[in-house]
Order: sequence, then C-alpha cells, then structure tokens
Amino acid sequence: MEDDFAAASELLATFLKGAISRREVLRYGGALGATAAAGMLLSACGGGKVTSTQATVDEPEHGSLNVLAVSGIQATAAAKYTKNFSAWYKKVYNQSITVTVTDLGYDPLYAKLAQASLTKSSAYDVVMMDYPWVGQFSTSGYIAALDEYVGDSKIAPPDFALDGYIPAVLDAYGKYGGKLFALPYLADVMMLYYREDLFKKCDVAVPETWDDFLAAGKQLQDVAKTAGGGIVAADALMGARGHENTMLWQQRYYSMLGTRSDTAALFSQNQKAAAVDNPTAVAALQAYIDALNIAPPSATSDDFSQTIALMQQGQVAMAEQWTEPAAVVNDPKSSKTAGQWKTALVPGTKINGEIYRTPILGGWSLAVCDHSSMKAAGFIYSAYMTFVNSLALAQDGITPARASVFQDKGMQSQNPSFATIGASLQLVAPRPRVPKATALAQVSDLAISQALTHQMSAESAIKTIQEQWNGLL
Amino acid sequence: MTKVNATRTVTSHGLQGMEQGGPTQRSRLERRARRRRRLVPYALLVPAFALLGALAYYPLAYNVWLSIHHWDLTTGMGRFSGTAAYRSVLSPGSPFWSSLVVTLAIAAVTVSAEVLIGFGLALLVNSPRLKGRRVVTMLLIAPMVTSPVVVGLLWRMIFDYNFGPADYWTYNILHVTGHVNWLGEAHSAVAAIMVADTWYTVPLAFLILLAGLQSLPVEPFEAAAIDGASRWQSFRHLTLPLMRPFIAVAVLLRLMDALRIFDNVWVMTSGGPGSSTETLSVRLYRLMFSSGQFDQGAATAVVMTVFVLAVSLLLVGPVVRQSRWEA
Repeated sequence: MEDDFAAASELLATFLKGAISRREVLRYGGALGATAAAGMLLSACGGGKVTSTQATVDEPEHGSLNVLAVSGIQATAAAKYTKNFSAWYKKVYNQSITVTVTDLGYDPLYAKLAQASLTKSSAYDVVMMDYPWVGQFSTSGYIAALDEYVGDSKIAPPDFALDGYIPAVLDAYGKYGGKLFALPYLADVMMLYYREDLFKKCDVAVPETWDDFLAAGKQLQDVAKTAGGGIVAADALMGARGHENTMLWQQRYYSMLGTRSDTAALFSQNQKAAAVDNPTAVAALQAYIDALNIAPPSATSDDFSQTIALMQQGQVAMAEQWTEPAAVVNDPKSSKTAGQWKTALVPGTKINGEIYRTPILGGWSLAVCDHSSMKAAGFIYSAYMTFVNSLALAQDGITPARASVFQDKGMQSQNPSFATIGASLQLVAPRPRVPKATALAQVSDLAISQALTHQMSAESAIKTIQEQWNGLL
Repeated sequence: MTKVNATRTVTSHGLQGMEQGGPTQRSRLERRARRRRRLVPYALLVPAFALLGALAYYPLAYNVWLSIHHWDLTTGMGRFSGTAAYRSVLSPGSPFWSSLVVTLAIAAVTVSAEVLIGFGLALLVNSPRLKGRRVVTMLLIAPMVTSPVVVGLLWRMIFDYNFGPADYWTYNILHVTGHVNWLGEAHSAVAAIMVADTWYTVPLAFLILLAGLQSLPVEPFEAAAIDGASRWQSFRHLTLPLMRPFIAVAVLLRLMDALRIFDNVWVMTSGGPGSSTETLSVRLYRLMFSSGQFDQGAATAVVMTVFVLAVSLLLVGPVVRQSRWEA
C-alpha cells in the first residue's frame, strides 16, 4: 500500500514537471488506483490491522499485538493472561503493550493462515498453529525465523533458554530446516488411560506392547461378560474420520518400525516421495483395525469427544487418549468413574528385548508473522506464554513443554497424570511436518476410515495412501 | 454560382426548418425524452446491480479465477494452470464422482420424501374439519426455525450408538435384527443423514404446498361435487393438476438446497465413515479449507454451480411454460 502511495506521488510530480501528458497520468493513475483498491480489498479480507508504534527494529516495540489462536482451552488461556503479559512487559522492557486475542476453529484457522500467507497479510502478529503447519508456513515465508531473537539479550526475556524446553518437543514444534520458527505452547501427547479398578478385578496387567493391548482388551471383555463390571467393551477407540485415525495408525507404525522420525517413517530422504507402502505400515494398520474387536461397535464413528463420553460413563476400561481428558474423566462432577482412571505410556513394540514406544505428539505452538511490524514483541509474547508463564498456564490445563514444570511438586500433586505426560513427551514421535502435511492427512484419514469400515483392505488403504501422497508431494 | 446555390440551399433548409422545424424539433425532443424515460429504469437498476456484482458476481468470478490458478502454499505463488484442476476433478476415478453419487442419492430421496410428506401434511392441515389449525401449523414448521448445526447435533445424539435412542427403537421396539451403528456404517450413515435432512426440511415443502392448496379456486371442486365426483377423483383430476406448479416450486427450491447439503452432514459424520456421506459440499470444504487445494476446491465449486444451475433450469422450464399457458 505504501508503495502505491509513493508511486502516485512520483507520478504527480512528473506530471507537474510536464514530463508526461495528462492522458498518461490518467492511464497510470488508473492502474495505480486499481492496484491500491485491490490491495485494500485484500487487506480487508485479511482482517483489520491495529497500527502499532514501532520503536526500532531491534528493540521490543510498543503498541498493540494481535494474536490469532485456536478456539478452546488454548485461546481461553491466552486471553486470560493478556493483562499479566502487558504488566510484565512494562516492567521488564519499560514499554506499553496491549494484546488482543482472536480465536477461530481448527479448519477456519488453517484457512485464515493459508489466506494470510498468500496475501502476505500483517493482520496478526502472533499466530497459533498446529505444529505440522510449521513446515508449510515457514517455507512460504509467512512466519519468521526466531533464532536471532533468542540470542539477543535486549529482546529475549531474562532466564529464557531454549534448552529449558523438552528437546524432542521443541524440535517437533518449532524447528524446520535447521531454523527455529515457533515455540511450543501446548504440548499434547497420546497416553494410555486405564481403569485401575477393572484391571485389578480382572487381574489384567497394564499392556506394554500392541499384542498385550489386544490381549488385555479381550480378557477385560471376557471377564466383563461373566463377572459384570459395567463395560460394553474394553477400549474407547477413536475411529471416526479425522486426524486421529491417522495418528493412531502412525503411533503403531513408528513403534513397529523402531523410529521416532516422521521423515524416516513416511517419506523418501528428500521428502519428495512417500515411503509407506511396506509390510510394517500394513501390519500397523491391521493392528489398529484389530483393535475394533475390543472397542464398542460405535468405534468407527467415535471421535475425541465421544470416546471421552464413553470413559465418563464407565462403558470402557481403557483408551488411547490425549492429555486433556485426564482432568475430565477423574472429575466426580462429570464422570461416573472419577478417581479410577490412571495413565501409562502407550504400548509399543518389543525390539531387541526392549519396548519401543512412540507416543504421537499433538499440540500447538506460537509463531511470529514475518510481515508483522511487532516481531520482537511477538517473540517476547511467545516466550512469555511458553516459558516464563508456563507454570501458571499448566495450572489452567495448558500442558507446557518447559521441562522444569514437570519437576514441580505442586503440579505433580495437582495432576496425577503429569508424570506420565512428562515421560511420554521424552519419547514422542511427531506427525508429518512437510509443507503439504494437511493435504496428506486428508488422504490418509479417508483411506484409513475406509479400511476401518471394511470398504477396503489394509493393504489397499496403504497403497492408496502411497499413491495419493506421491501425487501430492 | 456556388455562393448562390449555397445560399439557396441554406435558405431552403432554413425554410424547411421554418415550415417543418417546429414539429421536427418537438418530435426530436419527444424522442429524447422517451429515450431518457426508457433509460431511467436501467439507471435505477445500476446500484442494485453494482451491489449484486460486488456481493455475488465478484466472488463467483474470483472462484473461477482461483480454479484456473494453481496455488503453491509453500511459496505463496500462484501460476496459471488453465483447465488442469477441472480435468483432475472430472477425471475417471476422481472422488468427485462418488461425492456426486452420494449427493444425488441424498437429494433424490430427501426431496421426494419431503414433498410427499409435506403434501400429505398440507392436505391434512387444509382439511376444514381440522381444529386448531394454527397451532398444528406452528408445530409443524418448528424444525425449520432451528439452526442446521443444531439439527445436526440433535440427530447425531439421536443416532449415537451408545447413548442415542435410535438403536433402541430399531432393535427393541421395531425388532430389527441386530443392533445398528447408524453413524458408523456406510449405508446406515447415509440413511441417517437422509432422515435428519427430511425432518429439517419437510416444513418448507409443507408451507409451500399449503399455500398452494389454499389458493386453489373452489369452483372446479364445487362443479366436480355436483357431478358426483368422489374425493379421490377430485384429488386425482383436480387437486393434483392444479397443484403442479406449487409442487414444482417446492421440488425446485428443495432440490437446489439438497444438492448443496453441508451442515447436517458435517456435524453428523464429517463425510465418513470412509467417503460414504461425503457430499460435493463436504468434499469442496475439505479441499479448500482443510487441505489448502484451492484450485481443486474452486473447480469443484464451479462444476457444482453449473450442475445445480442446469438441474434448476430443467425444472424451471416447465413451471414457466405452465404459468405462461395459464396466463
């Protein structure tokens, strides 16, 4: 926009000097006007930008910071600490800042970011993203590399250090192509939830491997049929069409393959081709399909919220779930089975005598828009929310990636599953983070859903994923 | 000579002007006024068209533009790709075709059911013997005022295998063999969507057809009664033919809507299990908003628009012809 105004002024000056004719002024002016109008229209589509007063490029700015977050606990917590952040910012950097948090649902958020990336919009200074998106938006230049801010003592908050984050989580959430693009905000990971009372009653041990998992489920169901127990099936399995079905397959696949690297498991070395058409991928999908035998008949349509409902109603004895339900299923106000749910590491595969577990990593990170005029402030906000204020956020249910929070005695007593979360985060395997990760996930979600509902075999599903991923890559 | 001739000519024209100038000028002015009057309605339409252009045609044109450009979200660059997205969408084996089949199946069943049930209800409510017609009408149109997302959630709960009553009804009351996981199996999920959509949109068909029934002339029915026609004969030979334009309007409006069905499906099944309930709109949404394949999504949208338009025109034709004939 500024470029258009500069060009218009130059044109006017040339005309006044008599160097060009009126007709030419009108012609070029019209073109400039159209460009400016298009620019305005695009910026209007991208959302309004609250102007900020920038101090210098290398110093923390003052003004207003626009944060785009995903709806839910993530946005609620972000909104809760805006005033605390402003006060802290004033104290540490002696600058005034206000923070506005806007939230959108998962798909609209992705669409908004894709649009903002294409139009190079500066409507938002800090954006929350599902970490597989980091590859796409860093490659497109929409989010800024943060390395220079990390090492800048004038900008990085006191005591801030990257080695304070759990390394595996920081790598997955923030790093791409050797650079740091985001900081981990909410670290989510798959755990195994199990009913301690029923496991004891049925004399079943917490499963260590995927084979144990199926056997334990069968035993629980058999005993439940004869001795009661109130369950309709052993395992609340997320089998509805959606991202979770791909993750549950990958959780088995990575561990069977013995790797935590998304690139090694799923793609060729240059990431230009898929590498999933192999017997291990088929076996992993078959193991997921076999889990339907120990799940309620509704499993093929059960998603995150429905599986939690099954746990709360006491209809199942175990579940592969994210960290969020830990509080809900053990809350007497919302769960019939409160106090009975314990957590453990997800099962794995026995390789060379050791159990290789690969809990799938979910969660959200904070990135700074490269077109923002408040990049330093954006980085400081991200560091504050993910590092400085991580203990307070943990008490609000935002599982942090800062390692020290997991040592906190208060948090350990407040949340009994905190130890499992901490241990799981050390072993995580990320979802694919290649630039086309979202399109790839759409393909695998569909093929796996078709395999789960017997519309195609596990082999055909894996072949379909391989072929269609190759087309996309 | 030349000068004289010229003068004569001028004079001659001047004379002509003197003799015929008054009426000619008047007619010219009248012509101009008539032209201006003719232009006034068009001028008055300009703001409306400008608004429509900005709000309706610009997005349509933008969508076409999107469909002929391939956007690389990793570089933020768009390049002209011509008809590549259309060829990909319409290629044999493309998921577009299975989505089209699902959409057509849902549209065919729901629109037929809605018009039949709506007509039946309209006939009942139109009966002079019915007491409390207003209350019944209000109760019947209640689903229509509910948000489609709420309707989706409501029916998702009803069809929930573990907590919903649908399986209980079919298994324990209707004694259908075996439990039915309504939303978790391909065929039953489509059926569940059809039931939910029919429930939601019957009121619209009912209202259109009730309005139609109430506007029918009474004379033909009185004449038929005098001639000894039975109720069935009156219905078969009078009500149905006279109601044809209203039925066509109900079918047209509902069909256009049914071919674009999205909300219920998205909330109830998200297009699953597999792709069994993935309608064209759901596919389009996934392409555009979930996987960032803008060209493919936009091309699907254009093809879908053309398809809905073609189907609508096929139905509008007979309605317009009948209206003209009646006029």
